[in-house]
Amino acid sequence: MRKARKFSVLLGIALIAAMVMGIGASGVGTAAAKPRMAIVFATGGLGDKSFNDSAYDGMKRAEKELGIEFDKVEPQAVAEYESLLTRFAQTRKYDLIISIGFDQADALQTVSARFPNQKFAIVDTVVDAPNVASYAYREAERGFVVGAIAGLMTAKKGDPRIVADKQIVGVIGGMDIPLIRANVAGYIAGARYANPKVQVKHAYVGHWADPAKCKEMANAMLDEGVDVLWLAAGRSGLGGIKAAEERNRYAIGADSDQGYLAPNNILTNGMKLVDNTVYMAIDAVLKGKFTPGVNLLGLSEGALGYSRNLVPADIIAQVDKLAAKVASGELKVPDDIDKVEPWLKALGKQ
Amino acid sequence: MGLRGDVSRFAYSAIAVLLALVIGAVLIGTSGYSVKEAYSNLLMGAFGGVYSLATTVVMSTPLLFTGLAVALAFQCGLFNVGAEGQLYVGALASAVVALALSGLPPAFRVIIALTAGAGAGAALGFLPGYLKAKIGAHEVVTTIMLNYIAISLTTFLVKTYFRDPGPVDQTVLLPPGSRLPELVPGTRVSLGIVIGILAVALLDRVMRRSVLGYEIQAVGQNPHAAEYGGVNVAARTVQAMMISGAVAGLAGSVESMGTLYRFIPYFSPGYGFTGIAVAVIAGKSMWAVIPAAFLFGALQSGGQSMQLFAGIPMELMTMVQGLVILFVAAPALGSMLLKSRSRLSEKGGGRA
Repeated sequence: MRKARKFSVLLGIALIAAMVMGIGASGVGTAAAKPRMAIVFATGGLGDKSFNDSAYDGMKRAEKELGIEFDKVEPQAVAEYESLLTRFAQTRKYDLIISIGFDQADALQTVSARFPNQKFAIVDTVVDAPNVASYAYREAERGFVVGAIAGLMTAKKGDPRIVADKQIVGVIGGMDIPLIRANVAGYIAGARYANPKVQVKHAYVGHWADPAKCKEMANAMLDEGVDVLWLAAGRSGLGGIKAAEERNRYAIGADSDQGYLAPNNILTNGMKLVDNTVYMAIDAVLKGKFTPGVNLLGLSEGALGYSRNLVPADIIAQVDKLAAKVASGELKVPDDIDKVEPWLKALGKQ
Repeated sequence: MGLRGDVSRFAYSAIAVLLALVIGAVLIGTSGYSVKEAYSNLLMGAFGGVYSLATTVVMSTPLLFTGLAVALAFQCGLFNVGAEGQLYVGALASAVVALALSGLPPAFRVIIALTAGAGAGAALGFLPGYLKAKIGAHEVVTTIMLNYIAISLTTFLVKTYFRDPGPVDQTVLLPPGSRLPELVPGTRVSLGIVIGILAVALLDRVMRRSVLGYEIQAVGQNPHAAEYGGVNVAARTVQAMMISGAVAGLAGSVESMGTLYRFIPYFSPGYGFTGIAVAVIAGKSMWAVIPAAFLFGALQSGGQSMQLFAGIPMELMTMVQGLVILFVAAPALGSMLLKSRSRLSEKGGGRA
């Protein structure tokens, strides 16, 4: 027995040694001539049908159209962000390292200070560092577009999902914070601008992940005659979409195309086009236009928008015209609710 | 047990890890990736350089505690599947206390916050221990159920009472004096690893040299015999679960105070469950928890590089880790291999 044990241990050591030596001989690959990017996804991972998948699409498009190469990683835990960013940065071979999602802010703050010569970008939040380009959105603009769609849709006749002769639309935000208030303000402005007769209700869930409470609030709005309801409330929004589906009214999704959740009731979605954002961040670096600080993106950059889903063709035509006005800077969408009424008055829309 | 047992156990484990790596190589190869590149990155990512080694240590630290917690409960014949939940309450308790005490000198803050984390974990361990002792409710069921309660409860508490104003559900960042000191600057290797090793030393002593440890082991080996011998089985069961819970709670404390510097809901990728695998590899020895936790930390840390630089998907890495657990947890396979080989060598040596 003892001999056998010794033999197996020796065998194990020999195997490990063989492996290590084999590896040592292989060496490291040759330096790439192409520009090289890295991306650290959010913990949801690929397949989330939202931020991560969209960011990945942007990377693949940049690979094809801008001729870059990239490495990617899907963290399993928040605790991994810092070491993953550090390992990428340590190689010093990446032209840009991209962080997806607000929960990487802590880690990126630390790592960016440790590697002052490395360029970083973060999407959907702001990290204040001289070597980080933060990409955030002019949230009010996407509120404006879906608000305009809602305002025009509620005036339609002969659609069973529209409550006749009421013309009330609604929006439910996740939390009463500046970012969501800007979405709500844009929505009210868009609805009223496109259809001065419309009445807009708004409310906040107070949580990002409380679908039950959101459903309750949605039902209360539907009781009052709301027939188009935007859910800008993260996971809570799923409850509102469910309510609209059960009562057969229209719901509007947020961030990505949520049409698959209720194909007959999702009118459109207020899209955050993370793919375009990522593509733009890479393009900026390649053109030598890397800009640290806050980069605000909106309709004109193609970083915000709406999806067509069930929107009738005539409304698409009207909304595209309005969106073009916002993109060109002719219309400046108010970003807080208090500013909406004065803004409408100034435009003579009241 | 003794040295001979430890050596053969080590041999089984080494063979198991090798087998897992060989099968992992086949999987990686057939999936169209370069095995050489994958494993060189695994090796370098875990051990190549100061930062890689440090990351291995950082990733081993929570597993050292959860592994120790599960191993300790094993000694009393209890299967603590609740380390994950105990870790969450420990992490939150420590973060909240460390924040609340920001007026005190740092050393006091850290000690009191760690105690709070251990206390919260012990309290959560008390419940299944008490239910087992009094009404015979199986601890596997109660600890699994308590995991859900603990994870949801901590999330609820953060959202309702301890929320950082901002878009994210998490506590405020701990001020520097409320954190566990960083031992290697710029790596997040904190005092946590030292505390973990001290905990191993302390519990090894308690188990082998104290009446409490002796009685806990007696209950683990045969509760009826222990009771006949005058051991208060109910009390030892509750105490073992509480110690186990306290250690698991500390796993959370070192994460929130030494790595993340705040409590974030759902932060754990299953440290409590990986702790079970660590304890299974470690077997009966408390000290063996250290290399076992280090093995998983190394796989995790090396796995990062494998993903980053060899483009291996996370899923393949998780499969290799699963294979390691599978093979180590099935020592029968290892002993079978050893036996067949010894039969061979006996024939060859003509000693039979």
